[in-house]
Amino acid sequence: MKGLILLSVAIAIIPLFLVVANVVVEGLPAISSGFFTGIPPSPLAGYGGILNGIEGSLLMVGMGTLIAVPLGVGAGIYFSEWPESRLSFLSSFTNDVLAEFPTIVIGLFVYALVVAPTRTFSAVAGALALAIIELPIIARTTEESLKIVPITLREASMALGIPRWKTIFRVVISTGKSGLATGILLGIARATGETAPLIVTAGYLNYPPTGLFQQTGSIPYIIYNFGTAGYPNWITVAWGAALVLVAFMLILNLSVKFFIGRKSTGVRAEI
Amino acid sequence: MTASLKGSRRSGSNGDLILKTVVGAAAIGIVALLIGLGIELTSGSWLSIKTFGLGFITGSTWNSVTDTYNVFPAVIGTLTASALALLLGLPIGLGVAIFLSERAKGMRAGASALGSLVELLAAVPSVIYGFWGLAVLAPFMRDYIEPTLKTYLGFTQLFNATPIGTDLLTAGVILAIMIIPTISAVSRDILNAVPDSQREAMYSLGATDWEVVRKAVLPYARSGIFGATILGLGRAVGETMAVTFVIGNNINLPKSLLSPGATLTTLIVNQFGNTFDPLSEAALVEVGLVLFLLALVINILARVLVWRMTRSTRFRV
Amino acid sequence: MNLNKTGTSGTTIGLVVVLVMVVVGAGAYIALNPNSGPTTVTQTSTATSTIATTATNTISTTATTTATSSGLGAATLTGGGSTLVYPIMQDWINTYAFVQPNIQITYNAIGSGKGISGITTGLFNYGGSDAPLTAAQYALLPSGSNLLTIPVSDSGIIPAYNLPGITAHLNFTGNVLAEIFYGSITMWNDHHIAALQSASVAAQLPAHAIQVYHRSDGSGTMYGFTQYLSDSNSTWKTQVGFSTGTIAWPVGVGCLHNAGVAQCIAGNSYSLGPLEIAYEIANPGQINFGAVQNHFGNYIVANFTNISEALAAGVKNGLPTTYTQWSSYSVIQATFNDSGKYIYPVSTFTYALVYQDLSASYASTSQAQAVAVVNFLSWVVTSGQATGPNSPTTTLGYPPLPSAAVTLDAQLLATVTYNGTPVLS
Repeated sequence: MKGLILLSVAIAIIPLFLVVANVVVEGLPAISSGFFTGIPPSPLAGYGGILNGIEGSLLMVGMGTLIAVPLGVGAGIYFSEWPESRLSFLSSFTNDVLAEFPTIVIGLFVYALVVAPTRTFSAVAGALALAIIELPIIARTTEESLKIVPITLREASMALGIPRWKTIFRVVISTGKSGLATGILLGIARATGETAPLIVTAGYLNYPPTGLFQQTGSIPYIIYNFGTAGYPNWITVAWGAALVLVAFMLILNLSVKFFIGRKSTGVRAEI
Repeated sequence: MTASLKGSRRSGSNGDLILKTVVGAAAIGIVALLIGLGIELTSGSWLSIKTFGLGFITGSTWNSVTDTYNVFPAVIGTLTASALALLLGLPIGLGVAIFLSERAKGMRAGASALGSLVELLAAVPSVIYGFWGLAVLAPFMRDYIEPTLKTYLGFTQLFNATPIGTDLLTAGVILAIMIIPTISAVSRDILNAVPDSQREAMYSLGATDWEVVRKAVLPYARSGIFGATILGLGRAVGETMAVTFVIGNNINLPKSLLSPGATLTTLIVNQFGNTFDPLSEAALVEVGLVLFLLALVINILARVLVWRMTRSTRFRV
Repeated sequence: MNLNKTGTSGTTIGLVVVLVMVVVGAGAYIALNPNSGPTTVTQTSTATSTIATTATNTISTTATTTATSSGLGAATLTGGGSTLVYPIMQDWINTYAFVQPNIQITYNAIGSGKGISGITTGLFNYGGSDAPLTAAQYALLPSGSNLLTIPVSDSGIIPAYNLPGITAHLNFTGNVLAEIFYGSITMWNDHHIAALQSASVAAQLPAHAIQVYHRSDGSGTMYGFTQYLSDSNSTWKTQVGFSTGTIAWPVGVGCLHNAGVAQCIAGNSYSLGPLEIAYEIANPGQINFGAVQNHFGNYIVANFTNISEALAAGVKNGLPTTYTQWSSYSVIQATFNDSGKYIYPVSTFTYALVYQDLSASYASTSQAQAVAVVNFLSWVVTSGQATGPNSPTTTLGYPPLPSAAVTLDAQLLATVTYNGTPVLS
C-alpha cells in the first residue's frame, strides 16, 4: 500500500519535471538579450523578442492588482471582523465561488461590459478581467491573515480605549501585513498566467503598449498565438515566452514560500 | 481561530462606522459582481435563448451555414473530459493527500518538500500545459498509448478510432495533471481535520497504518473527499487553454474517446473569432451562461460538503 | 498557517512594495511615453533583401510610389480577422516598419468572423476576411457606410493524401471530391476515383477505406474548399453548403489549423484532406497531393502560376461594385466556369475590409490612421506581392495577386476619403 501511495506521489510530480525540462530545452534557443527588447519576428525569420508581451503583461497585471487590492483587502477585513453577519456569509461564499470560476466566462463578461461599448480591445478591459480573477484570492488571504492575529492582541488594544477601526488598521499594518503580501503575490501569480480572458478582452499588440485604450499583448497570448502556428521559429518564440513565464512563476512562488514562511497548510499557491 | 470580538460592536464610533461601511461595500461588491455576471450573461444571450430554447442544450448542430448554434456535443465533451480527468486524477490526488497527511508524520522534511512540488504543479499556467500537451503529450499518446488501447480495447466503441493524439483522451490526461494539486490539497486538509481519536482507536486494536487509513480515516473523511472531488471537477469543467490545445476542437458529437471533441470552454475560445452576427455572439454568451450555472452548482455542492468537514479550520482552494 | 511566525515581514513588505512600484512604474511609463521601448526586429537581413527585390520586381508602378516616397506621420493601426493571411501579414507588417518607421501595425489573427464583426463594430481599422460579406453581414453595417472589399493575397487549396506506395499526383474532379467528403465514396479503389487515373495508377489504388480529414476550426481554406464542392456538386450545396465559420462536415475528423491537417494526413495512411498550398510550399516534399480538373478538362497540379492565373480569370470582369453583387460573389465561382486551359480551380482570395469614408464615426479612425491604413494596403497589394527568392510570397507560399486585381485594388483604395478628401493624393 505504501508502495501505491508513493507511486501516486511520483506520478503526480513527474509531469512537473517533464513540463519544466521541456520548456527549458525548447525555450533556451530563443533566449538572448534581444528576446527582452525586440518584438515577434516574421515567419521563418529568427526569434525576435517578446517585449510587447512583457510590457503588456506588466501593465495589465499591475493595473489589475491595483484595482483588486483595495477591494479584496476591504472584503477580507469585513469577512474577518464581522464573520457572523449575513452579508459576510453570503459574500464569503460568493468569493469562494468566484475563486473557482471559469476565467473565460469572466473574460466574456468584461467583453460585454467594456470591449463592446468602448469598441476596442484594451489594456483596461484586460486589467479589469484580471482584477476580477485576483479579487477572491486577495480577499481570502487577507481574511485568513487577520483571523490568526491573537485575540489577546486585540483585547489589549481595545482595553486601552483605542477605537476598533484603529485597532484593525494597526493589526492589518503590523501583524497581518505578511499575509497581505502573500495575497498580493498570489494574485499577481494567478493573473500573470491567465490567457483565455485576455484573448477576448485585451487582444494582441505587435508592439509595446503606448496607451490604455488600445489592444495590448501579453506573454500568455504570445504562447497561444505563436505556439499554434506552423512555423518552426514561431514555435521556438512560444517556447521562449513559456520559459520566461515559468521562470517568473517559480520565482514568485518561491518568494511566497520562503520570504513569507508560509506553512503548507492553509493558503495554497493556486494559480 | 475566530478573531471577532463579541461585544465590541457596542463601542461604536464614527471611525468604526466608516470602516464598516467601506469594507462592507467591498463585501457587497463581491456579491454584486456575481449577480452582475449572471445578469450580463443572461441579457447578452437573450437572443440565443429566445431562438433556440432548450434545443440549445439538446441539439447537436453548431453550423454557421444554417445559423444554428446548439451545444450538446460540447456538453458531452465537457462531461467526458472531466470524468476522465477525475478517473485518472482522483486516485493519484488522494494518494498524494494520504501521503502528505499520514505517511508524512514520520518524515516531515521530505514530505513537505514533496508537498511543495505538488503545489508547484498548480503554479504552471494552463497555457503552458496546453502548449506542452500539443508538442509532447499528444504525439506520445498518438504513437504509443492510443494504438495500444485500440489494439486491446478497440472492440469497445470507446477506443475504436484512428489515433490522432489531439482528442478527448489526451484532454482528460492533461486535465488530470492539472486537478491533482486541487484534489490533493483539499483532501489533505480534510484528512488533517480527522480527529486523532479516530486513528488512536484503531491503532489500539493493533491495526497497521494502512488499515487505519482505510477503516478509520477515509470513511470519516468521505463526504469531505467527495467535496474535494467536486472541486476538482469544477476546475476541470472551467479549464480552457490547456484543453484548447489538445482536444482537437471538433464540434461534432464525438464517437469515441479517441475522437477530437470540444468542451464548453474551448468552444468559446475557438468560436470567438468566428462570431459575426448578433445571433452567433449571443449563442457564444449563452455557452458562458451554461458554464456560469454549472460552476455555480458545482461550487455550492463542493463548499457545502467541504465545509461540513472542516467547519472550524477554514481554508480555501 | 503561521504568518506571524517569521521575522521577515519587513523584508516581505519591502519586496511587495518594490514589486508594486516596479509594476506601477512600468505601467505609468508605458502609458505616458508614446514611443517607449526599443522595438528592434531581428530580421534585418531578410527585410532589407525583401525591400531590394521589391524595387526590381514591382508589379504595378502606379501605386508603389505613395508608400516609399515620403515618411508618413506616426500612427498605430490595428487590423484583425482571417488566420489564413496571418503569416504573410505579419511579414508585411514587420517589413513595412522599415519602409515607414513611424507606423506601427498589429494584426490580431482571431478568425474571419471577427474580422467582419470587428470592422462592423469599429474594433479594427481594417478587417481581414477570407470571404466577402454575406447579405446578412452587410445588413449589420452602420447605416450610410460603404465598406470596401480588397483582395490582398491568394490561396490555393490542394487535396493532400497519404497513400503508401503512390507518389504520383492522383487526379480528382470537384464532383468526386464532394462525394468523398459527403461520404458517398468511401474506398480508395472506388471506380469513380479509378476512372480518373491512368491505368497504371488506377491499378495501384488500395482497397482501403479513405480516412477523411478537414480543419476543425472555421477558416478561409475550408471556405474556399466547401465553396468549390458546392459549385461542383448540388447535393453538397443543398445539404452542407459553405462558410468561413463552422461547417457540419458529414464525414471525417477535424484537425487544428493547417499544420494540424498536414500532421493528420502525414501521420495516417490512406488519409485525404484539403490543405492550404502555403503549407506545402513552406514545407516542400513532405506531403503528396492531387491534381484537380478544371473547367477546360485539364488536371492541374497547383502552383504559384496557375493559382494566380485562375484568380486573374476570376477578376477579368472586374470586382463587384455593390453590396448585393459582393454578397453573391465568389472568386471560386467566377473561375469555376472559366475555360482557361491551365488555371487551378480551387483558388481563392483573402480580403482586407476597409471603410470608404474613414472619417465617419463608425470607422473609429483618426486622420493619421487613415493615411497609414490606405498607404499600408497600397503597399501590400503592390510591393507586398513581389516575388523572388527572399520575398515572403515565395518563402511563405502566398501566390502573388494577378495584375488585374492589383489594378482593381488601386482603384478601390483611391476612393477612400477622409472628411471628403481622398486619402491617397
